[in-house]
Amino acid sequence: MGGSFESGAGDDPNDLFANDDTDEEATEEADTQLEQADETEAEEQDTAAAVSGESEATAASTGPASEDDASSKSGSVVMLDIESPAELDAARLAREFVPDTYEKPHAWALGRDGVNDGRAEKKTFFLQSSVLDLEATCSQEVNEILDGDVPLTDLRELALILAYHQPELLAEAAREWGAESA
Amino acid sequence: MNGCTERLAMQAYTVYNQSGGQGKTTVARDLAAAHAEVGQRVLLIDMDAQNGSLSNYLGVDDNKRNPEADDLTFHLVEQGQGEFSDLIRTAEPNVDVLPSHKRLNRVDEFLDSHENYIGQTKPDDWEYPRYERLLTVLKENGVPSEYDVVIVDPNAKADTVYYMALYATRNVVIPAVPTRSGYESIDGVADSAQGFAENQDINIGRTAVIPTMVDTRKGDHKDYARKLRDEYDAPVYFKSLSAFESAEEQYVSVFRLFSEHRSRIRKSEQNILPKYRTLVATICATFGNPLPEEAWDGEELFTGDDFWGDVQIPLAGADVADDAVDQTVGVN
Repeated sequence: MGGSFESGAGDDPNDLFANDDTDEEATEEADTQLEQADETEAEEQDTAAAVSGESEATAASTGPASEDDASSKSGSVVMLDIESPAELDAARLAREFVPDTYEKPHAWALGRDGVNDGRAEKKTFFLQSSVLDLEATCSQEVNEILDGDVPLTDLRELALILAYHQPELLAEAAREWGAESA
Repeated sequence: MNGCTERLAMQAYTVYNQSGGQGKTTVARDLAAAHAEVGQRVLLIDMDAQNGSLSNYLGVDDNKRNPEADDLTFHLVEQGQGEFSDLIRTAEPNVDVLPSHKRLNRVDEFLDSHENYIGQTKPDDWEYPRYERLLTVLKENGVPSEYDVVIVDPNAKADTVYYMALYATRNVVIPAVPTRSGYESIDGVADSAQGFAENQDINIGRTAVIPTMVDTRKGDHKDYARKLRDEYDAPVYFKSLSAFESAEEQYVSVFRLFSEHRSRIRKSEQNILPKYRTLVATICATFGNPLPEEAWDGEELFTGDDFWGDVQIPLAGADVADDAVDQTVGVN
């Protein structure tokens, strides 16, 4: 018997657990072989001990949001064709906003190395929890439609891209919050 | 526990891949819940002393860094500070966990001194049965009569802990992501298991290979997932879905996530539980204890899809189920 690693079931644990005698025989037979195993083990154990220290204090910390970010960008290089809501072509916009650095033939989400590929900017938002709820609901709906699992990072960026092409709607909404008089 | 003779034979396996990030802990957690769903009593043994391990996933790792706490390491070297059963925590119905402790990182030191200590009274040619220690502890503490299934989750490393787990369970379930490295990791597992099996003169079974985190929109994922299916008889595959992370977030299995934390299940997630059921059916059949069809009480099993093709579920025939199960006890 013995000495195999194959598809299917190995030794029946019930035999192992039930019968002490078999175990002791096996031990004696394996004694000499164990010695070799211990030697190879020893090397690995050294590294095991070295690696075992924890590195827990590495949680990513995001800085506070900079209020200047938005204003400093205004009037700078980013100029877009603004279209009326009726003309909004989500697919084209999404294509346009695939990072320039991405060169593979597959659709971006399929070919990139990770979700943050090409996303160099990190921003902190102040949001109401009700907006996060809205985001969760929307995410669920999008995933239902696609029967997929759209990363939140993608969903958020797409939401921004689409919304930022709707200045008239945004203006109307901002007016409601009192933007004109501010 | 009494009534041992009426029970199914105990099943044991180690969920392992020496490559990290293959979904090992998630698979162990949810397989336990899947066994529990059909009424099997499961003991999950967390032998991964790193952060984010099984006992953390199930919210029972509060003693992990407590230097005063008793743990499995102490029991492995006959220095238990209390009852073995006091180490065990119930995470979900029918799912008990033996949590890990940081001490397990130094298990070799403990085993070395145990060897030195008991070696004093042994003949010169005595060899310390290092890799048998886990099996011995489980046996001494009645685990086989308390549980139907024992699942060990070691860390992703071919070290003493892993070999103890292999020695005790003799079976390995291998999760792998469908990439070149994930595919090749199976060979790595085979190498270490084969070497250990020969060394110890034991038989280790490759119970199942399970493609995890499959993205069916990716061509290479599809190719490698199918390769895992064709070459290793992978019974099911799991997609990369946020439900697994949500379960982690809630410290529950994905079974409990759906039953208690979700008002409805997304279309993309509807196959998760059926896949685990089919997987459990396959594992039990591999061990010679096929489950009867009525084990699921009408719950859905995964019978295949367009991507994966048809899946045969090895169940015990409905009318002969009880006999078939009884006869397999102790066989093999």
